[in-house]
This record gives sequence, C-alpha cells and structure tokens, in this order.
Amino acid sequence: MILHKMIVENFRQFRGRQEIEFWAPSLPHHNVTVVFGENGRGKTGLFRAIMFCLFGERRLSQDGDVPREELLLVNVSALEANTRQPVRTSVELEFTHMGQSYRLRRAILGMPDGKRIIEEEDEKRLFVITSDGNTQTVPSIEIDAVIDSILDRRVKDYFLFDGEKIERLTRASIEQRREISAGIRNLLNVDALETAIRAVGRVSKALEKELSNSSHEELSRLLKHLSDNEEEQTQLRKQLDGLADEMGLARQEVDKTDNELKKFNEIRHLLDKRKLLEQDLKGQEQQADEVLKEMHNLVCKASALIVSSTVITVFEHIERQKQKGEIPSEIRRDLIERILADDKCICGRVVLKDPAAHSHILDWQKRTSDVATQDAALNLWRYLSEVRNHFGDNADLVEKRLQQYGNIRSAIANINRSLENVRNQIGTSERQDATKLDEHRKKLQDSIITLEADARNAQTLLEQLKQEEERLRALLKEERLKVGRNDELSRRSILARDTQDALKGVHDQFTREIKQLIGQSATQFFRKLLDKEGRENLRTIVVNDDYSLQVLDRYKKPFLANISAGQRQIMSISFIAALARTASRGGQIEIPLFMDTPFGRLSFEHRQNLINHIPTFASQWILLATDTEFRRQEANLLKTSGKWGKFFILRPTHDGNTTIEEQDINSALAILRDEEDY
Amino acid sequence: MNDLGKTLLPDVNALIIEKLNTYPADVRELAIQAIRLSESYPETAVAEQLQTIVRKLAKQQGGNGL
Repeated sequence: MILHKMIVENFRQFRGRQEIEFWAPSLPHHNVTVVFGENGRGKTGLFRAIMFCLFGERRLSQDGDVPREELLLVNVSALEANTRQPVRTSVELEFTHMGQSYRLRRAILGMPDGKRIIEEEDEKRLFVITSDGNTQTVPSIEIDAVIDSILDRRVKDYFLFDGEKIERLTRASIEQRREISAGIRNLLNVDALETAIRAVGRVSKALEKELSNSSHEELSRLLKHLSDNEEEQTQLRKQLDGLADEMGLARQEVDKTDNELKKFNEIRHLLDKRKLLEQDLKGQEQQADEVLKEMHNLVCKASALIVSSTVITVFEHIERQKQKGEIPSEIRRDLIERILADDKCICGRVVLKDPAAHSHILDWQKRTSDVATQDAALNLWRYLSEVRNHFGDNADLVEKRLQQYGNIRSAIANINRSLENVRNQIGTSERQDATKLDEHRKKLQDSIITLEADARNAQTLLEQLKQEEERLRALLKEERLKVGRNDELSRRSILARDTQDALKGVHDQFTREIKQLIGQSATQFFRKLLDKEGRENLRTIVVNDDYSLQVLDRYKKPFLANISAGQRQIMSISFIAALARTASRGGQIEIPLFMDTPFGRLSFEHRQNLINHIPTFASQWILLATDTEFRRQEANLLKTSGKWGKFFILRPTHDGNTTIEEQDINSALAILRDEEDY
Repeated sequence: MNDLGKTLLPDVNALIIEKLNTYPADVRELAIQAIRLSESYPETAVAEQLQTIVRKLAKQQGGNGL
C-alpha cells in the first residue's frame, strides 16, 4: 500500500479543507515524507485521520483509557462558528495497492447536543480506479472486506511507532508480553483454524458421550480420561499464566519501590549493595538448579556405586576361578563324565585300574561346572569388568557434583546472611518512610517466592499430566486396534479425536515457526540499524515462548537488562519492522510506516542508520518530527539518501487550529536548525 | 526454515492445509473440511456439519476394511 494523497475537512485541528500529498508520481522512488511540527499541532492527528478513513476508528492504541466522548474528530472551532448547524468532517484518501488505485472517503456529521457534541456517520465510499481511468464504486457492504484485504485492521496499530509504544515493547513486563503476543496472534490470522479446533472438539466430546453408553467401556473410559487430562492441562496452563502475571506485577512493584527508595540518599549505597547481592543470589540459585539437574541425570550411572563392593567381590571371585583354570575348565565336564561312564580314558586306558588316575578325574569333575554355567560366569565377569572400570569415573563425578552443590549452598547461605544484614541496616534507617517502603518491598519479595513455588508445583503437575497423557495415548492406541475396526461409532470417535490432535499440532507448529521467523527477521533489521559498538556485542533478537522479547549477546547470553535506551528503541523498531515484513509476506514492507518522534533517544549513528535503511525496507516512510529531533544534520542525511520526496510544516493559526503547508525540501534545510543551536 | 515469509496472511489456510499432508487421509479430509467451513460459519454450525462428514468418513473406513 502506498499513500498518495489525503484531504481532510474540519478534522480535529485542521479547519476547512486541507490537503497533504505523501507521494508524487513524478518522483516514484522518493518514498520519504517528513511532517514537521511542534507538539500538539496535529502530527498524530494525521495518522488518526488515516485510521479513521480506512477503518472508521477514532481510537489509537496510545489513547489508553481516554473516554470516547473526549475523542472528538470534528473541528470544534468550526462547530462553534456554525452554531446549531451540523459540521461535516471528512477524510479522503487516495492510495495504490498491488498496482491498483483506490479512493476512499469517510465522513461524519458533528453537532452540538446540549453541552455534549455528538458525531454520526454520514458517508463511506470506496472507488476503484481501473487501468483505463474509469471509476468503479465498491458496494458499501464490501468496503470493510476490501480494506481488510489490503491492510488487516488487527495489525494496523503497529505501523505508527510512537515513543510510548517503543518504550512498552522492550520492557520486561506483562503488558509487553501481551502486546507482542497480540501482535503475533493477529498476524497469524488463524481464526478459521482456531474455530475448526473448537468445532472438532465439540464433535469429539459428543461422540465420546455417545460411546460411554455403548458396550466399549474401556475405549470410552480411556477417551474420557484423555479429555479430563487435557482439560486439567489447560487449567494448569491458565494457572501458570496467571502466576506469571502476578509475579510480573510484583516484580514491577519491587522496581517501583526501589526507585522510591533511591530517593533516600543516605541508604542509596545499601540499596545498591542489596541489588548486587540479590543478583548474585539469583545467579547462585540458578547454578544450584543446574547442578541438581546434572545430579539427577547421574542417578542411573551412580546407582551402581551403591553395590560396588558386591560387584568387586563377585568379579574377583570369578577372576580367581579363571586364574585357577576352573572357568573355563581345562577339560570339559561332559568329557570327564563320559570317561567315568565308559571307564576309559581318551588314550584308551581303563581308568578304574589306576586308582590314582581315577581319584584325579573325580577331583577334576568336582572342579568343573557345566558349559552353560561357565558361559554365564564368563559373561558376568565381562560385564562386571566393564562396570568396575567406570566406578572410578562415576565416583569422581558424583563427588565433584556433591562438592560443587555444597559450595553453592554455602555461598547461598553467605549471601542470605549478608542480605539479612543489609536489610536490617535499611530497616533501622532513621528515615521511617524508607523503612516502611522497605517492609513493603520485603512483603513483595516474600510473595514472589511463594508465587515461584506455586509455579514450580504447577509445572511439576503439568509434567506429570503430560506423562499420563502419553501413557493414555499408548493404551488408547492398543484399545482402538481391538475395537476400532469393527465398530462405526468407535471409528467416528477416534477420527474426531485424531483430527482435533492434528489441528492442534499444526497450530502449535505454525505459532512456533512464526515466532522464529519474526525473531530472524527482527535480527536482520537490528544488525543493520545498530551502531558499530552495538553490532559487536548484540547478536540476536529472540521471541521467547512466553512472547517476551530478548536480545542475546555474542556469547548467546540474555542481555536485554543491560542495553541502552537507544538500543531498546532500535530493538523495538526492528521487531515492528519484522512484524510488518512478515505481514507483507517477506518482501518489501508494503505498509506505510509512520514514526512519531522516533529520534529522541538515538545517537547520531543510529539516526544515520535509520535514515539510510528504513526507506529501503519500507515502501513508504512518513516521519512525524519536532524541531528538537529533526535538525539540519538529519535533513542533510535524508537529502543525500535520494529518498526524500515531500516536506510539510504544520503551522498554528490565530484561532488555535493548524494549517498544512508544503515546503520545498531545499528550503527545509534553511528552516531547520543545527544541533549547536540548542 | 521455510517459506512462511512468502506465503503469509491471505494464504494462511492453504499453508495450514499443506501441513496436514503428513496425517492420514481421513484425518486430513476432516481437518480440511473443518477449516473450510470455519472460514464461513460459526463454531456451532461447523460442528453440526462436521457430524455428517465424520459419519461419512467412518463409513468409508468400514467399507475399506479399516
């Protein structure tokens, strides 16, 4: 989608009919428009006008809880001048999409109603301009569907980057996770798939009920158990989400309390010390968990150590027998038995005639065992020899891990003692308000510990249910082989269940792939937009399973907590650009990107990278800027890029309204100021 | 990884259906019908129509000696 022109009439600050041309056909590759104006002049109002025209929406995501009646679109001064007469407010938008030209017009009538102002929809029309220049009107009922196919309304909010959104996206908060989750979910566009899963689930449940009244008790029982198991898993997942939300809120409250506490200079050093100790504690606890996991994996190998002395005794016993030649015996037992039975040696001598030889043979008979026993003893000897060889290594490993675990526990105990000490010092501070805040913080930390324990228990339960699910599925597989072939009701029930599982599997796979794809795409943008220093250290953006964003450093370690405000902003822009690219099916971003005051926290190198790269990623870049961030330096960069097509200034009028004034980009350089001017 | 980037949004259901290729024919058939119906009808209406399709597919299975 490329926006060509917008005409606004009595819309918010823009009184009368005013026009803004975002793209000139004579300069098709100049895809950057700068709208320059002080705060409150209506920069965001232009974006609002576009959203109103396209989707009929007056509320933007950054409006938050502002009541609807306060979000007026009609120009109030026009209304005041036109007492008792309705004022027509309209927005007309001309744009192209995939080579097709469109003209969309939406209007409302604003009128006073006592002290209130009411606004009523007046007109909505969409025209398609065909290649031969003719105009076709799209039936009113189809307009929303046509617009949605051009720009899905659920992802529209991502194409206006404002400071608040940028800040929100990189915060490790629940809102951030929800925002990203909503963005990806909207992008997935899997409504039909989700409806299909639920509908097949209904069919499956109905058939299971029917089956429970049939003669296939075992099949019915298994299907019911499986359904119950899945339901319990769903509930546990919801519980885990709730706990994560609560933990997030508690952590945010801890941060807020910390900020409050920092105001007390006399205890600031203690707070810093406590923060370091808490970080250290967390690190040690993580290490302890890892060592415990390793020890858990060692259980199988190490269990043989318990019977090591028995193993060695048995091995040595067989070894001694081997040394003596008893195993394997020098002469086979069956041969000795044959000699005694025949009373004849293999040399032909009669054995009984020689009592010494006879006694010798009887002695041999005692010492030999049968072939099977000998083979078993030899196999046991080989096996024990192998086991015995690993005793040393395993014992060393177990000892090392135990020692490591002991050291970590001891370090944890030391940190806890130091923490207690620091907490006491903060608690006995003369500042009572600081003490109260600290008590509040302590309660929050305690509740986080309880929540973490609850989450661990829920997680363990979930793992158990998953194992139980696997077991039930295996039993179900066997049972269906027994009954499923001959009975239609069973076949129906099994088919519905298998289909529901298949659809769920596809849904999970699809979500995973989208997250991965967005992470990869965001990383590409990030690496291009970062400054040199950032590029050296920050490597990958990852969308985690819980939809939080993370950035990994060169050692693939999480680094989000340590990045600068500017890097956070670049990260957010990269993520949104990745969403936009994915929505644009991997090619150039076919959605106009609006950026409201985007340069605020950015270094000059970051600004330079944005100016050089965004116009190549996006089909259109519309910059809404104030004079403190769009200066002669940025304007020069933009001009040199050869992408800057249009420049508008929003000027105040004497009656508090705004006029849109187009300026030549060369004269823009004269109007703008240098950094030194500030 | 895959060609998701090129096929997203309008073709999403086609992509999902492609992913169902690895499943048995009857499961795939029922899943596709469920998605197609869900594009136009609400959940309850889809479930009702699916009952008939499930019955038909189960009969076919029986006929095939499965």
